[in-house]
Amino acid sequence: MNTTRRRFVDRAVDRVSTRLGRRDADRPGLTRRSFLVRAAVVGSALTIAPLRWMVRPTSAYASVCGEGAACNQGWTAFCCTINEGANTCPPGSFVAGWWKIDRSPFCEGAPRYIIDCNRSPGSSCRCRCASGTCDQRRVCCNVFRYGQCNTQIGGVTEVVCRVVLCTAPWVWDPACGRTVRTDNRTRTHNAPCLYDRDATVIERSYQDLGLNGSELGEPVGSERSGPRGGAWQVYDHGVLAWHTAIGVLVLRDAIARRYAELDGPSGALGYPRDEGETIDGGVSRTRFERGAMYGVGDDAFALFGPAAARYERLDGPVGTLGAPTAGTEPVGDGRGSVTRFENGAIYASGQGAQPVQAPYLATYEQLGGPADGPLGYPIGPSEDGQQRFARGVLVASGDGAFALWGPIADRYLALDGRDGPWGPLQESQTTEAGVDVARFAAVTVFAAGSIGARALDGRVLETYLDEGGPAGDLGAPTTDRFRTRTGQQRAGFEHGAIELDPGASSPRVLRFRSTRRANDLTITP
Amino acid sequence: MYLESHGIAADLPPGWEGSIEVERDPDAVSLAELGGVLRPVTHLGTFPLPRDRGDFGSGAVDVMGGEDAFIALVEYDPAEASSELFASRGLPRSLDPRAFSSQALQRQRGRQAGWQGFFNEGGRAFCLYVVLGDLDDLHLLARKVEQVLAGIRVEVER
Repeated sequence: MNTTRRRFVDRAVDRVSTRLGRRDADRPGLTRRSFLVRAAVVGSALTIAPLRWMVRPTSAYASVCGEGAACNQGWTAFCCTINEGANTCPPGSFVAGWWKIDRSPFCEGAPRYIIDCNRSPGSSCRCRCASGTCDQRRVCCNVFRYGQCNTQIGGVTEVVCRVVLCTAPWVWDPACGRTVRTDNRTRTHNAPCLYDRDATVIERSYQDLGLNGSELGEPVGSERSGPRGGAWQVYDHGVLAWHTAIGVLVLRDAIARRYAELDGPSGALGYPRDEGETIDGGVSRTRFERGAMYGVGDDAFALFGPAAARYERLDGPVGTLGAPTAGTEPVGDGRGSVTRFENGAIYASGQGAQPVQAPYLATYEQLGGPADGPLGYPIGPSEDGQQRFARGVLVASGDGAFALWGPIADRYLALDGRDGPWGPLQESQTTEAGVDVARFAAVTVFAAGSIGARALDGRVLETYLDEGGPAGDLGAPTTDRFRTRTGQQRAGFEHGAIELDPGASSPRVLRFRSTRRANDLTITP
Repeated sequence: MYLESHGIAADLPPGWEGSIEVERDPDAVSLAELGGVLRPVTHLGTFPLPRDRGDFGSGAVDVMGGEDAFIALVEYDPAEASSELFASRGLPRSLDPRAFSSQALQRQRGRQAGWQGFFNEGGRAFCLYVVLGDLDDLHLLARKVEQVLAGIRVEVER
């Protein structure tokens, strides 16, 4: 529908501008320069208010700049006209007062505010007419003061120029008081450097911030559409993002740059939820619909989804993880992500997001992390000297950590871990001849295939190891070392058994014959 | 003509008219709900005051003649009464014609001359803005205005 309307307007404007351009070009005494200036104004007028421009007996100047735009009509020029495009009080002036215009089309039917910038005491300026555009109003001529702002400054000085806002002045500048003053006779006043009646929400906000005099600098490219009817615009030093649910929010510097790289609200973060706050030590945080961005020095790191939420619950940069050192990135298995910090990382998957820190992180990542290692994703934070993972556990030991996984880890945890009968783990689990092996203070545990984890100790273990352990012909243990009713110590293996009778000095090794039946044993003395 | 409203009274000589009003526009009321402060504006003139006029007389000064005078007594948030801008005490009752200037106007217009002074009275903050119709008649017109100023009373802020 918009497109249809624009096409109609464009066609109509083309016809009229051709006629009017010819009319001006035919006028004697019109220099090339003045014609080009006039043409630019005509172009602006047609862009801004084409139908009105065509049907009313008014000049292009009046259409863009409104009434009273000539110097001899006594009004004061807009600041952007004389301040290199900035909608801010120029140096040597101060915000001195304001008035409103009711139901202004420049502010989508809300009040528009005109702010007077008066000459600062001690500064000087020369009464003159603005030039270069149709806003040829007076500069620094009218000695007049509205009087609601900066009332700590006494006296009345010249109005240098005027700033326009769609934001209540006392919100825009706390130095402004709240006494409401009105002058609807200035309803049409405008300038080419200001946005027109069709300005977008973002354009109006940019204007309220000061246009190119704002901290944002100049626009980069054009305004872009965002999801769900929102929009966003990139500037030299920031981003403005708008949606009905959030209003217009300003993102600055590194966070804005990164947000733009991530495709703004159309990217993984969605729309911002605030304009950011400084957390600690120069680290800032801006929250988004689906994550958060942290500014650290000149860098900004985007944290997405559960990792972002988990980090915030862990007190963010002031928590034990410290500041981010990288944004949230896929792990590579297509199932999870990792986010790195000064003192650790957060691994996230469908099972949630958990921090992994020293002493566990180095071992975890040496083993291949969640994608290439045996442990999978963490399923809980470190607790009581260990951290559990989907398929294993890391156990703290000195400055490092040892890993267990698979059946050995399952049984270790079932036996109360480090408080259980196996005692402290001596090193990370290894694999010998296809059998997982883990050495504890009290036992050595073996696991092969579906047999499960079996713990051996004492003379039975020594004998098993003497026989070659998992690489020997006994194979993997199929039982723990246990004591029979007769007091015999015994352990079963895939291809035999080891027995130690009460009072005997050395165990017996029994080997199955090739049929591996229990009554087919070969006894080695 | 005698006007009295919002703690301000004006006993006007013949030939003057005026109003003492607090803005009632819906936009102003909405602003008040957002913390805006609505205080009265007194407009006095030696000519018929148009209905549509700005607080400092735009619209009105457009139609005044060279022999006319216009007074705007504009009140501010009483919280400002003790500030530097409003430090002067009491409504000015006498005017120095030499202080009037064609530059001292919200908007320079023809041969008009203006003068503006901020002051406090009764714990209230005001600006007195006077526009005289002709630079050549400043003494006469200033005396006219002084007659009106003599008849203005401001009640103490409660």
